[in-house]
Amino acid sequence: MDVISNLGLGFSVALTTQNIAYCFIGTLLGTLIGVLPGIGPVTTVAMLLPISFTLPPESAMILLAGIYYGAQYGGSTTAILINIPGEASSVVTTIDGHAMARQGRAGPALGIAALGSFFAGCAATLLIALAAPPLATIALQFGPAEYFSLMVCGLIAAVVLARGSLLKAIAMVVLGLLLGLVGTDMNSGARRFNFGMTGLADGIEFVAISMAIYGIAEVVYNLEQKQVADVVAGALGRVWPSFADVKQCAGSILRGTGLGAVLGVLPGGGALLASFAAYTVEKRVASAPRQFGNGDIRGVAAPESANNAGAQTSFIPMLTLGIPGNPTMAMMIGALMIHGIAPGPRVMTDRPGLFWGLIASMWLGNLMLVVLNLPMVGIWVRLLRVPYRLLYPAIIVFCCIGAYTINNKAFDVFVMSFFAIFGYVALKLDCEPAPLILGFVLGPMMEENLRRALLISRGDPIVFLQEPISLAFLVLAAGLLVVLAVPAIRVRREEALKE
Amino acid sequence: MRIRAPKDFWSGVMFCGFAAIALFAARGYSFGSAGRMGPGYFPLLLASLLGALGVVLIGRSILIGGEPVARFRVLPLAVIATAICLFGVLIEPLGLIVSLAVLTLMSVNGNGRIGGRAGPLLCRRFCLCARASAQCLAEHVEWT
Repeated sequence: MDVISNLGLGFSVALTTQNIAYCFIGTLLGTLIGVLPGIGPVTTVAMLLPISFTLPPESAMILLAGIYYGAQYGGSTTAILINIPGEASSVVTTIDGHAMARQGRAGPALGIAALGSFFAGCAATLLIALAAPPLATIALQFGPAEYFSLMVCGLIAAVVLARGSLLKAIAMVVLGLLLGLVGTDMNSGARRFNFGMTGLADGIEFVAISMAIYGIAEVVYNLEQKQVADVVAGALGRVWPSFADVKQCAGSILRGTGLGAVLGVLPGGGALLASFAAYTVEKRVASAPRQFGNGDIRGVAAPESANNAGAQTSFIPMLTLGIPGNPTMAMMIGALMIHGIAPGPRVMTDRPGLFWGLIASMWLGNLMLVVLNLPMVGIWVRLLRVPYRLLYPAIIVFCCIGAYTINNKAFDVFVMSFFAIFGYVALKLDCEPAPLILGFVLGPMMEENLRRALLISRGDPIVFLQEPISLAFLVLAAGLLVVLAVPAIRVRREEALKE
Repeated sequence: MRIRAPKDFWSGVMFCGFAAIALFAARGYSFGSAGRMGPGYFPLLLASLLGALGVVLIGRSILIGGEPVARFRVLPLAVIATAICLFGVLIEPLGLIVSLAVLTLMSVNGNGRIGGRAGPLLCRRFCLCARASAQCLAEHVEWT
C-alpha cells in the first residue's frame, strides 16, 4: 500500500527527537493559548512565524500545526470552567459545558471533550492521509485557468461563510489582493505601490501585517471588551467520564467528527463553523432525553469533536491545492513561502518528508494533547487566573520583536503599526479581517495565473468558461453569490451564524 | 440625505479611499492588454472593483438602515501604535533593552486602567527574557 509506505516515511520524519520536541512545544503552546481567553491560535501562529523562520521547514510546520489543533483542546477547558470561550470555536461548548460544571460535573465534561477531540483528531488525520494524495493528483493537472477559477471560488466561499456583511467581506478580499500586489512585479520588474519607500520593494511583509491585525489590533479591541468570568471553583471531581457517559456520547462524537471533517475542508470552514453546525445538528437528531442547554454531555461531545475534526481537515486544501481556507491556514502558507516552498499540489511530490511528516505528527500531537489535557487539567485551570492586563503587553512585545527580527528592518515595525491601526478601524466597522489575509496571500498567485491563462488564450477571457473544471468552479462561485443574494436564505444564514 | 447605516457608510468611505490611492499610484503603470498584461492591469482591475464596492456600500447606507459605529477609544490605540513606532525608531540606535523598556512601559499604561507596580515589574521581566532569548538565538545561529 502506498499510503502505508508514505506514512512510514512520515513517521520517520515526525519521530526524530527534534520534531517530537517541536510537536510537543506546539501542542503545549496550543493548549496554553487555547485556555487563555483573548489570545487565539491565529495570533499565536502569527507571533511564532518569525521563530519558525529559523527552523527547518518540517519542524516549523509541525510546530505551527500543533498550535492550531492544540488550541481546540484547550479552548474547551475555559468554556466549561469559566463560561468564556477560550477559543472562538468553543463558543457553543460554553452552553452545556458550563451547565455541567455548575452541576459539579466539570470533570466528565472536560474528559469527554478531550476524548471526543482525540477520536476526531485521529479520524480526521486518517482522512487527510487518504484524501490528500488523489486530490493533489487531480490538482497537478490544473492549468492556470483552472487555478484562477479555483481561487475565485475559494475566496467567494470563504466570504460566504464568514460572519457579517457580504459586501464588506468581498471588499476586504479585494483590498487584501491589492495589498498582496505591493512590491516588485514578478513579471516586469516594475515597482508597484511603493510610494517612494524602499522598504516596500519586496512587498508588505506578511508577518508584519498578520501580527498587526491578529496580534495588536485584536489586543486593543479586546481591551475594550468586558467579560464577566464565572469561575467554577472547587474540585473538578473525576475527570474520566463514566461508561454510561461514553456510551451516550458515542453517536454524538461520530456525528460531530463526520460533520466537522466535511466542513473543515470547505473554504471559510475550519474549526469555528464545524462546532456551531455540530451543536445545531446534535440538538435536532440526538435521542431523548434531551437536556440541551442544561448540561447535556452530548452538547459538549459533538462540538468539541467537530472543531477538532474541522481543524484537522482544513489542512487538506492548504496542503493539496495551496489554497487557504481560514486565516490560520493562510499563515501556514506564508510560513511555507518564507521557507521558499511554493504551496500547491507539488509539495507532496517534491517534499514528501514535509507532507507526510506533518500528517504523522498530527497523530503524535493528538496523543500528547490527551495526556496534556486529562491528567494535567489542574495546571491549566490555575493559568486562568493570569489577568489579561498582564498578558497583553507580552503579546505586543512579542509582536514587535518578531516584526523586527524577520528582516532586521525597523521599517517592518512601522508597517505593523500602520496595519494595527487599520485593523482596529476595520474591526470597529465590522469588516472581518480574515478575508483580507486570505486575499493578501493569494494576490500574487492570482495575478500570475490570470496572466498565464490570458497569455495562452491570447487575451480571450472566454478561456475561463471553456475549460470544464474552470467553468465548474466559476458556476459554483456565482451560485454561492446568487444564493446569498436571495433575502430569505440570507436571513437564515445570519440566524445560523448567530446561534 | 441622511446616513442610515454609519458602519456601512464609513466602511464604504474607507474602501473608496484605498481604491483612490491605488488608482492614483497606479496611473503610471503600463496597462498592457489582456493577452500581455502589464504591471498595471490587475491592480487597476482590483482598484476599480474596490471603488465600485465602496460606492455600493455608501449608496446602500443611505437607503437601508444599519448599526451605528461604536465609540472609538482613540487613546489606547494611539498610545500602543506610538509605542510600536518608537520601538522601531529606538531599536537600532539604542538596542533591544532600552526600546523594550519604552515599549512595555507605554503599552502597559496604554489602557489607562493600571499603573503603579505592574509596569516596571513586567518591564524587568521582559528585559531579562529578551537577554536570555537573545543569547539563545545567538547560540542557535552559531550552531546552524
